[in-house]
Amino acid sequence: MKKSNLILTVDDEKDIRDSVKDVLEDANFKVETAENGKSMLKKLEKIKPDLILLDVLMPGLTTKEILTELKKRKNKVPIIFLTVVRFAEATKKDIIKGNMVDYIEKPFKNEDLIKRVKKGIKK
Amino acid sequence: MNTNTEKIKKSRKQSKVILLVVPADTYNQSLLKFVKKIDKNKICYVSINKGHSALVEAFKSKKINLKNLFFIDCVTKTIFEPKEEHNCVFISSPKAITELSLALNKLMDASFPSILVDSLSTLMIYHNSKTITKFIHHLINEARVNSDIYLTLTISDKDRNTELYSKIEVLVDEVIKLK
Repeated sequence: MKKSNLILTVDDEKDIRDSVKDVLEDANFKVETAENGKSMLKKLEKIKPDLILLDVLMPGLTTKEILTELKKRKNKVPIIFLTVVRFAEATKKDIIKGNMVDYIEKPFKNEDLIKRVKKGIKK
Repeated sequence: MNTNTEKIKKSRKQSKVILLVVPADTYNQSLLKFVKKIDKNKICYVSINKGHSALVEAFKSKKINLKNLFFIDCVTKTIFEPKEEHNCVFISSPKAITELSLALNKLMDASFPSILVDSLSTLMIYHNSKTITKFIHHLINEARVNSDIYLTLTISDKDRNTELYSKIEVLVDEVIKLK
């Protein structure tokens, strides 16, 4: 049987974490969750996800601080931003580089999320 | 002109500090319409949840005069280091409320008569209501001392039952609910 990919979804809103977890589990992914950058970094000491879905506006560590810490740890897991924060398309292209593989705006469509998570893992 | 438009224009003549309650479902569109109504004034747009590039794109699409706008962008630098822009100051993060206050003080001196803070709802992700109230209180005091400054604060209608809403509601001159 094919091994399920593990996704770590990081969002301060429980409703979003639960909804993403439901959608991805229905699509045969394994899902772990974290409520902010600090708990995400702690979780990464125990698990090795195939992809991280990362909210941009969360209490505690900023996205930049989280990315800096991941770089320090040489953690190159693919990251997809999943956020309400809006940027122009050209700016999103500046953001998507290295292991930052995609930028999804909330609210998202379930099928689109699954498609882009699959694509993100393959990159 | 519909009643809401008339009310906004009248309020902006009479009130120095307005709390704008914006419907969560149509937040960005409603706010764009509001800015369009007031774009003859020089506006300093403080964005906590949208990057400068997205705002410029949105305002251009609505034919809002960008010459009258200056931006304080509190979100872009939380992800990456942006290029310098002639009409924008980038703040390191919405957490950096002192940095934001200093940038606003400079712009108040540079005569941007209308300051729009978008939004208190997003500030709540980073700060407790006490810290935000203190910050807003400072802005309101500056606006009251400087007779040329008009301050508009936005909040999502989803946050009407919060402690912050009740604290800010009593500090402002008027609360306007956008449709």
